[in-house]
Amino acid sequence: MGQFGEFFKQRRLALGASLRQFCLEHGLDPGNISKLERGRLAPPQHDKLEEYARLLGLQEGSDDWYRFFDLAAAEAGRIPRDIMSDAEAVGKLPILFRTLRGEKIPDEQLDEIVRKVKGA
Amino acid sequence: MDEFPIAYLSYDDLRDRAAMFLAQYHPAGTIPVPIEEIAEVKLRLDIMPVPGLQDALRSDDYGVVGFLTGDLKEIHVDEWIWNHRYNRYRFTIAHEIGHLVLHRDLYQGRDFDSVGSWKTFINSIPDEVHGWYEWQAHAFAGLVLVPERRLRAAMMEHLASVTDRLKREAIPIANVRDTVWDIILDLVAREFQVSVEVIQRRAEKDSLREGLLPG
Repeated sequence: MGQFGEFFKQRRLALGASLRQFCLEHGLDPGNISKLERGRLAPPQHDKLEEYARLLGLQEGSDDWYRFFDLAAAEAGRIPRDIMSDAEAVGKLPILFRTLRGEKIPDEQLDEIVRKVKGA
Repeated sequence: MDEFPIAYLSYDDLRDRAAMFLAQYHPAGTIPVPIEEIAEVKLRLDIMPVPGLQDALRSDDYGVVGFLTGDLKEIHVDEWIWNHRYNRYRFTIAHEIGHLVLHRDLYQGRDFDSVGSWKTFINSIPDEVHGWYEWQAHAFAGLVLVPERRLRAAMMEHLASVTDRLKREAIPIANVRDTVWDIILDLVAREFQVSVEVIQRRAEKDSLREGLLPG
């Protein structure tokens, strides 16, 4: 998780808002916000960033306001990878899940789960 | 270490574990239990929507449409369920927390060096063992989202209200007992933000119908 994403998440949680609540309330895409918080999406351009800052309750001109923009600027040049490597993905794979009782899980289904995790 | 450690917990053991969990993470005891907040704020789990996960998992016997990641840091939930089936979403979160609380030993120390070794491990879990894990997480989820005392109190309250109405309409309760029970299940499910099936199972486990609406 990058520092910008971590700060974004801390501020959201400080509002007492779950990711789902925050996104529903403000008409945001939860997948994108989740990726932003986990550093898998680069911080957006200035206008959008300002909108996020306001939604997070940051006061214009406050220390937190500047910190938010500074962290975003520091990560602006970084281009996160869209897809995790196999090595990164293995820690994120499920241990307990099942489809139908008594069935071995077909290899192609396991591959599909790996693809989903890599893109999450 | 046993490859698949199972604690053979009874429903009453799980009831105790759920009560301890709620005492620690939701001492205010409000209903509906804010399971999402508990997961994100108290347990510091990331909950993330994943498009098409339901198709990949094809759902399981318990209708769970998400999973806890092997590193115990994230819960992935199908995006459609996230957006359109709030109660099922809540149950999925509670179920995965159940794995976190009850099955930590199974998760910890799994250091897969490749996707291939993960696949081998997944398919080596015996069905019976898997059945225990899933049943425990499922029961735990129901007990956390529908705490014992709160369930009984809610049922009594709704029963009193429905009974009053029947009296005003001069309808003998004996004639509509099953309907009354269904109405109560529905009202309580709305209050607790779970499905009617979850309330039904919890009420059965706590033998509530026999006590509240005998006959």
